[in-house]
Amino acid sequence: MGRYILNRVLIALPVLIGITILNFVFLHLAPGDPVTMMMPTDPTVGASSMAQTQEWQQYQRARLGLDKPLPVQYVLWVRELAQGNFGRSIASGYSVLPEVAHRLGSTLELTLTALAISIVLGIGIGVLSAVSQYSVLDYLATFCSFLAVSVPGFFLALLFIYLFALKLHVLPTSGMSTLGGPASLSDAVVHLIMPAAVLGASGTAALMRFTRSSMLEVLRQDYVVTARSKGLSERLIVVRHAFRNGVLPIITVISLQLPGLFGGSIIIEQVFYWQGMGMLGIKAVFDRDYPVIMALNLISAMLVLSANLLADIAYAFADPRIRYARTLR
Amino acid sequence: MRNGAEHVQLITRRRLLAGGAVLAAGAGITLLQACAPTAPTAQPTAVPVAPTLPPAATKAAAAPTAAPAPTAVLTVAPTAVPVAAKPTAAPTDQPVSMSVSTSRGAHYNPLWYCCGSQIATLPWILMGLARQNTQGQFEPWLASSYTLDDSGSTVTIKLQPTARWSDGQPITAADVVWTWELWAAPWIHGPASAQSKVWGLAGATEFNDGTADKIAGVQVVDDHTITAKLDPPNALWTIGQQMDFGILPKHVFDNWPKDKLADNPYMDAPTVSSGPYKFVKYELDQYIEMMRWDDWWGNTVWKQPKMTHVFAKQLDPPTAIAQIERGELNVAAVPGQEMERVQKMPNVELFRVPSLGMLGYWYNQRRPSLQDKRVRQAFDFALDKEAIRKAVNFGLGKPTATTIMGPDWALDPSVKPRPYDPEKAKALLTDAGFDASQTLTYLLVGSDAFVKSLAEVFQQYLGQIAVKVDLKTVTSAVEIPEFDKGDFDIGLIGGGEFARDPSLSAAYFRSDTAWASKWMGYNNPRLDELFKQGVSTSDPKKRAPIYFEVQQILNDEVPWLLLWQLEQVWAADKRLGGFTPYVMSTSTGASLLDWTWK
Repeated sequence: MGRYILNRVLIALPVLIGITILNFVFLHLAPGDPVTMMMPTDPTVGASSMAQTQEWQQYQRARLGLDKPLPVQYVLWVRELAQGNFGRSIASGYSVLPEVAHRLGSTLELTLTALAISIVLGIGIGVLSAVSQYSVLDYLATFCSFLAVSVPGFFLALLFIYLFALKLHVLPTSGMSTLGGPASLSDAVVHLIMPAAVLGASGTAALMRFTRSSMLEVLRQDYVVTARSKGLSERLIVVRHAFRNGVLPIITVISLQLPGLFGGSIIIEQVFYWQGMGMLGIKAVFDRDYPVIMALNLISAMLVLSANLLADIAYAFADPRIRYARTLR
Repeated sequence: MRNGAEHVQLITRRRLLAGGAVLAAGAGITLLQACAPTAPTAQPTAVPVAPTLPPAATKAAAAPTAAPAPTAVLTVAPTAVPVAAKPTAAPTDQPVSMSVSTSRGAHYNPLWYCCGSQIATLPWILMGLARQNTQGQFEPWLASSYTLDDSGSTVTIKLQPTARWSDGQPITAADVVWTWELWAAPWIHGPASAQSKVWGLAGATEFNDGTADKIAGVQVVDDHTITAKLDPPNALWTIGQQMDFGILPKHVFDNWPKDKLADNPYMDAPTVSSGPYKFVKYELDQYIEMMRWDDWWGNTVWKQPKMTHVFAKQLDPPTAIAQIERGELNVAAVPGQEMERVQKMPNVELFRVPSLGMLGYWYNQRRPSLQDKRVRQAFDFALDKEAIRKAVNFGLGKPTATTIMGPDWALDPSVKPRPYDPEKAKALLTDAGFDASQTLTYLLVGSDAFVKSLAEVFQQYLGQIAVKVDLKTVTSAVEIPEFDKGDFDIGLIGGGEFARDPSLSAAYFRSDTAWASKWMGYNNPRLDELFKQGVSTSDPKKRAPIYFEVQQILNDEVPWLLLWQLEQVWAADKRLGGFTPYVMSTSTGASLLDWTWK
């Protein structure tokens, strides 16, 4: 198993390096740069001053190292990264690593909660839907899952805000905590419910559909008939025999959901003013804030690759055939 | 093969479809009912066509309590309002929150003072020499007075004698000079706007380019007095220069390498403060938290604020409006399209006040097609500005012919906006020999619906006088490179603080400015002379005829086609007392000292 994990890590490393190179190149090819974003167009804040001279721009570009060839800039970035230095935000001056780490926590809180909602509800209802095929529950679950997949996240978010915050007054409109109030778990949970539910909605629906079809296929297998003919209880058949085999493809689906969740969180964080990487990223993109964007891209890529790795491991763990096959080879 | 759940009652596909239809219909009706009563007015995206534009519904029964920008503040005596030496207790500890705008590069580093979040809060934490009041005028703040001599060549600044930092150190002239040098320093890692604040001080250029080790024109007279020579002389330097930049505590940075200033923890958390509030926390792009400094030295000079705990939230307008409706926010700027909705909120009061800024189109006269002023005048006649204002801007705004919009003494009553007259526009184009086969290019920056609608309106109105206009859309990241390149004819311009003083228009139209020389290609020597004369004295009676002529020239030559003077709309929690609407959206909290819970 250890060798298997090592093998997967070694495959992931060049992928990660490739991602950073592509990000770096495309980022610098995009029109505009941080220096032009620092220049005011409102002369009442200095347009007639040195700010708009070529000298000022050249000075700032040299100071930031933006005048060097792109490969040199990339190597310098990697060198600093190797020393644990993510740099400072060009647009705002803050140190990137602590800020990104802080935001990462918030984003993980949101995405992992959304993922947990997806897994519990998606798999749970999917299994129930499969064992109760063509029942009212099955049709209702199917209807809701299509609705959740079809409605865009931002619309669902606005709808939730309107209903639960402005009409029913049961949840706050946005934010991560009540400003000025005492910090408490219940306050944090209350603020987390809407964004996590919205972010997890489409994932829940997808998982529900996958689980249902996977379970239906397994429930039709001969060994399930055999188990049933032996007189095993229906509950035991579903839980012990069908579920474990039915859940195998679901592991892949879950791991593939993570990139989508990180992507989706960008919009959801904006709508709910959730202080995560998405909000930071959007701001950084508008500011052409290269160090921040690179740090966010790197961390997102690492998270996604880690999720894939975890999926591989989980797959091997759930299905002994995979690890035995690896061992025999 | 069936699964093992035979006990579950099966339903037919027909029953399912029927049930689904009922469910969908029910959900739809519920949603419609839920959304109908207070759904916000949609952002205008349709292009209004002249001359039958339906006026947009704008009936905000606002309380226009604020007058237009008042007369300019010139040399100043202390405006101290003595109050009881013993601070009075605030009525309640309930936090108050206000929305502040975010801007590109939002941050809190006090050296990078530029954006909404800082303008609204920093003056209360790190006092500037002056601060902007609700009318956008500067009033002495950390300075007890600032006085310009008659020629406008020297400014004398006296600091409040009792001023001290929150760590007990006195605030002295050395702090001011050190801060000015930081703003002028080339090594400062910040936006260009900060450096412009000391522009005009004699010797700032030399200090900036490294040929001098201090700003030569600045002299410390004593611990609380500074004199600064101005180059060129400018009798209105204290108005044009935004003296609300926070003065920093020099002693915090003693022995700290000057090229590592950004690494000083103080830059992320300015905990040593001078104002009535102490910095508590800044959550990037989220909020700034301030707590009242109960022992503030200024309690005896001004008054102690009643609000003990203040949050400035960086929110986009839709979120701010939702929060104020829910009672999670107490003060917010209101976009035009949300006015009607906010007006219906029982817990909120709506305010409207003329702003200092304007909105209009600017011409790139580097392109030959727009160098004839008759062409520019023709476009001014071709636009039904009143109809556009009603349809696109929800009736907000006030007609204006030029950027000289205030104070009242500076306004030439004979200069009026051109009426809508497409026939006259056509005649002018014919007179000018305008080549109707050419296509003009309109530079559309960004994807904002309002900005886009103004571009489309321009395009359509000009289409009515047979002038073709193409829209060239670019992102805001390349705005300045596009300006430099100049591959377009018309652009949109808005904002500014023009109504504060007529001299502020010089920053755009004087031929040695970046706007006029680099981007607009506009040059009028007479205007240059007038702008120079306009700042040679601070006497409004002498200045008025100068700016009358400026208005006549600007109105005749139309370097910009003005649409209207902006109007600012505010929503304030009805429980909040002492709130005064502000002329600038960035100055949220300008009346914070007066706020109280009713």
